[in-house]
Amino acid sequence: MPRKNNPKIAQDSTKQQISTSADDLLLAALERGGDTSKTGRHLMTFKEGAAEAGLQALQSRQGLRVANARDFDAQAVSFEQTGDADAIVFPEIGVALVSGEAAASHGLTTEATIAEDSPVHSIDPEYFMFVAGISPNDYLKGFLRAAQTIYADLGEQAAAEEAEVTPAVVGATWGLNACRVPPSNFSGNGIKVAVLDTGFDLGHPEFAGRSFVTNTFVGQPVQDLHGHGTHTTGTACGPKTPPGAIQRYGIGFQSQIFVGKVLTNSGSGTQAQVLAGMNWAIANRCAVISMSLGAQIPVQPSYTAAGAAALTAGCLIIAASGNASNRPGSIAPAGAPANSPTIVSVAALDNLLRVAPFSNGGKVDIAGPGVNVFSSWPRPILHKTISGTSMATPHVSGCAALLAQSNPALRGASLRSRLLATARHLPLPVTDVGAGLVQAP
Amino acid sequence: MTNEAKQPMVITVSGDRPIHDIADDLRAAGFDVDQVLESIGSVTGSAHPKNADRLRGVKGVVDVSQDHPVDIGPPGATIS
Repeated sequence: MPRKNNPKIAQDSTKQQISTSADDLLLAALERGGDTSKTGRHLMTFKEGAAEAGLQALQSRQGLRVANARDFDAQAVSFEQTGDADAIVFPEIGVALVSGEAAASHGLTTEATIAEDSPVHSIDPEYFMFVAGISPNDYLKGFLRAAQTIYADLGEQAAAEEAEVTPAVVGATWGLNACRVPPSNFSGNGIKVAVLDTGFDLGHPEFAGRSFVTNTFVGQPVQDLHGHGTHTTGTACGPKTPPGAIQRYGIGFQSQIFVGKVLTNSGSGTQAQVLAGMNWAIANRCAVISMSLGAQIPVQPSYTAAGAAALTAGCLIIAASGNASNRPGSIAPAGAPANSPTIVSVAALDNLLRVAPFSNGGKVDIAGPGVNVFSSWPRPILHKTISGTSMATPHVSGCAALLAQSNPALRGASLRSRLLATARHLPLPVTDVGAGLVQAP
Repeated sequence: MTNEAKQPMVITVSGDRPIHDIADDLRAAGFDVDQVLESIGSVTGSAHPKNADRLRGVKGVVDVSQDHPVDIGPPGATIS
């Protein structure tokens, strides 16, 4: 909503207070679009030994409300307790964090010219920080970006050559190839696929123009600040030809995506929230309901009943068996809801079609690729490679969507039978992989 | 009344009776109804644990279980 009293201030800068949580900052950045790597706040670095002078300047000359890290016990700053402060100074490191609004209204942005006698050394944008998972694709992405830049510098001809070469080189993920997705003639067109997870990055550029129906059951916006839901949705429903040098990672590229946020941005939820999501997906007659979640608990009557209701309504619920095993020493039983007889339980395989060490056993119906799975991730990261029965599940869900499209009679129980009957048999125990590796029609 | 706190519970019902009638009887039996999930035959909410047997006695109730936390795998792991 535009602020009428001060048009100079960007409309979203009010959300970029010192006390604003990282989640809310990220949410605001994703709503803004564009460069989502910056929080909208600014970091002011003072010259050596000039922190005190800098603090004075912010307070007296700029008239800002400035909090001081020294005022917190052991300087353990609690950002929530900074109230309406415009800035907070960290004297030990000679840095101040300035709110988006204060920076905009006082000209304290990166473009500002700094006087020679100023205590300020530089003003820079504050960037988001993410968990530093060792992800080979992030390195690869960096390399590809560098290569693209070099190509661009060499002129248009080189860029055109690159465009011709990439598709053949890029191909599809190992998981899609193992499930024989690329040669399939089906796209999931006309099939509703519900993914009950941590939500989805609705502004992910590779999903522009896609049809989404969304709902949240956890009191947080559907926008995925965790990443898990964006990853699983990417595998089940992602694009056929992602732009640039990105391999194909999505199966039902023309399916209609139902995003049910049943887990919070910290990746947790309650059974009641999950049941509410299942109820919604069935009420919307989603032919496929993908659930990369669970708990190591016995069979729950509520999930079994929900699975039965789904089959009656022509829907099929597909769930992760769980990651509580540590093979070969320990094989944990499938968790709930996958352990319910009315729900398809999915185990995870690696690229040599071995059971993943973490994959649960016992009540397993089918297996999917679940080790080093490349898929979408919320902006600005865009892609990530992770492992789990959570990643195997959407491979089965995506293939189920293609099967459902291949024959309108395949719904609910008949879809389940066909899914299991067409799986690739593997020389492994049924209690580990069920009917075998899921195959696209 | 007891000091014992109410606990979140999940109640599974049969299709023999309209679910909203069952929900009304559950309320009368001391269940704070949160959601009536008609498509899957579930009623969620909370009640004192000592009331669980009374809830089980409501006609059409198949199961009364405590609500469980759900997640995506070992927290913080790269496996999920």
